[in-house]
Amino acid sequence: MSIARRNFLKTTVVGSGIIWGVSLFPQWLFAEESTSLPTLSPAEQEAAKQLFDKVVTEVYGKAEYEISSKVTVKSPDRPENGSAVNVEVLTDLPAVKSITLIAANNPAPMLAKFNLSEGMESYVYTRIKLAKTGNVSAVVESEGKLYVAHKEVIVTVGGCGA
Amino acid sequence: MATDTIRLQAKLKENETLIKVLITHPMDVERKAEDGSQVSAHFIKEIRCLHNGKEVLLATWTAAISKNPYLSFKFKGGKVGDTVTFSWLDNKDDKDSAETTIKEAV
Repeated sequence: MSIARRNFLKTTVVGSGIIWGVSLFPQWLFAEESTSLPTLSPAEQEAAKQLFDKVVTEVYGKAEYEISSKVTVKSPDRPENGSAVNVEVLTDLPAVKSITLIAANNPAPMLAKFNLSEGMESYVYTRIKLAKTGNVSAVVESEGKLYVAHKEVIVTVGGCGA
Repeated sequence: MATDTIRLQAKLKENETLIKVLITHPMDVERKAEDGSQVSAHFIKEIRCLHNGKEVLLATWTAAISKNPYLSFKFKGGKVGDTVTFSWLDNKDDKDSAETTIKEAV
């Protein structure tokens, strides 16, 4: 086997590997682009977090919570109109007592609190108003603890006056 | 008392009852309208859902829920023919309620 042949094999195998990998996960290429859009400055994010903590304290008496992947907030990334944004909250957590929806960037951040009785599935679907771009957050109360998930929604037409 | 503001549907599928509710309500935030007149806040502050007289869901809402609110949720343990009652109460003490029976999902 000549060196040239070996080099040829090496480059083709590695090269095709890269192409295969990229074609399998094309979102890796574009992920950077979609998340790097400066929707909120760090200061705004910090302010939103403080507001969020304040609302959680008002509702649950404490702001100790865990960001959990077991809570899912589904919502369109860019709704056409902020006056009716579909929001779906799902969770696998056991014994869910309540689900609270919060949008820290709304003039009135507290949106709704759903108290679920025993036998309720941990699922709520509704439509909310959003004033501007920011996180829609769900706080789930399960076995005395709070679990949180955020979903960023980009609002171009605000809908709080509707 | 408001009448005929609630459209309520309860469907049983694989041991889960899916409730869908559509309410006719302005859900106004306090604001200045385009013509300069003042619109006062008018929104549903509480909703309640009973299954055979037992409370399954109690929610407190604010004016941040969209106009003509839509809501869906699920509970376990329902049977075909069971009664589901849904009621709302707004900040002006107006209210309405509706009742339906659980049907098999097709």
